Amino acid sequence: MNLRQVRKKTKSIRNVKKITKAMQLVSAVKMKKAQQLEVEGRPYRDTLTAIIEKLVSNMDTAWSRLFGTPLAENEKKATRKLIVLISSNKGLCGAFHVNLYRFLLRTKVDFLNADFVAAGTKGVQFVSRMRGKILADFSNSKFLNSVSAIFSFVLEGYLRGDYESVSIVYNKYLSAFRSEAVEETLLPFEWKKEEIEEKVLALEYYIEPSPKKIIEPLLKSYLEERIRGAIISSEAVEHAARMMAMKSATDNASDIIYNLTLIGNRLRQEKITNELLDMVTAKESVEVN
Amino acid sequence: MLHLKIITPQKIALEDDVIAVTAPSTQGEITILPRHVNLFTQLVEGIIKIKPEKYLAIGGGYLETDGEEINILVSRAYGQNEIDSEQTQKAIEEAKKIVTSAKDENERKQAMKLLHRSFIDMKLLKKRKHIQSSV
Repeated sequence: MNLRQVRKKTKSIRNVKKITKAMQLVSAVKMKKAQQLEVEGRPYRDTLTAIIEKLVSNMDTAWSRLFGTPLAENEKKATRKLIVLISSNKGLCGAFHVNLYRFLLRTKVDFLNADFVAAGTKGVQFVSRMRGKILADFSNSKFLNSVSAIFSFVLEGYLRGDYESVSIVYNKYLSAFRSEAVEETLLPFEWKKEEIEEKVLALEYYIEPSPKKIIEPLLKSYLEERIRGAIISSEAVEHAARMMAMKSATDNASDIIYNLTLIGNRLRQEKITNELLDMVTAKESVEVN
Repeated sequence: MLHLKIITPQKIALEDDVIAVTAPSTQGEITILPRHVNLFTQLVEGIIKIKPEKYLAIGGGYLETDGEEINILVSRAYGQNEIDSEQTQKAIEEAKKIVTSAKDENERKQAMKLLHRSFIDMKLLKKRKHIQSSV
């Protein structure tokens, strides 16, 4: 490289650094917001879960079609799976999507025997690359606004008897630096009776209007809340991942600028030395003659 | 004393020790006092009255109590100073317009919902005036 090339390169990297730095700052703000949403929404989800656990003892699984796998019209049990895949629309966020893809591959999801409902174009791209079938794509609007649309779509397909189970795959938020791709089963609705404390089970509740009437709307709002929680969680992870990715990009840019400046200085020095040598030899040759 | 928690998907709207809570359930209005029997009920849109002196407009949801604690889970909850009377009035006007000019059933239903909600908000605001004048 000559001096001019080095200078040009340094300048362009400086510009890149400015951009990544700006993206880092923007992501940091967005992450804070998403985190806040995730933390503040947690009591609602937790209380709802706690309430459902308390009411379980009074419930009969025959009261709602959400418990077992419904049968299709031809009385055949469905074998297909429906997967709600939460990703994002934008790239440049480090391992965010890779983690999700790797998780899907590791859990050996049978792409040919599963239908997908996607929120996020990156997820759509991946699924179609794997020859999976996308039933619905909710990437276009803000994900949080389409929670109820996603839920009613999923519920409809399930109650029609098309699917054996419905699950949701997303990046779960653990802390600002830790996340984990998970798959959670939404339907058929299940709970682990052993995990609920006996003390809770012994509580008798007076339920109005009647357990039978309340169970479906309650489960529905619970499931919808699960989807909402997954989206909020995934968003927090996305921004955290992007912030980290942009931070390391900025750091790398600084490194490159540092090295390029060294090279540039050396080249400049070399040029000066050469010019001096030229002058000295020219002078000496003149003096000898 | 009852420990009351009103929780919306966005945040905990209210957490306080109270004397009594009156809420609109699907079966009609119910009041929860301390040592109430364990109860779980569905709530409809309306106004929650909390003693001592507080009103909240809520969306639909659930109420759970064991006589010492009340957990109220609702889609939305607004206090009196979180609602702007002018904006609500405007929303009512607009919703009315949509109801009369709506093309399909769905649109009309949505507008009716909005109208209903705005009316509840207005009712809530009137309650505040009442309290202020009585003090």
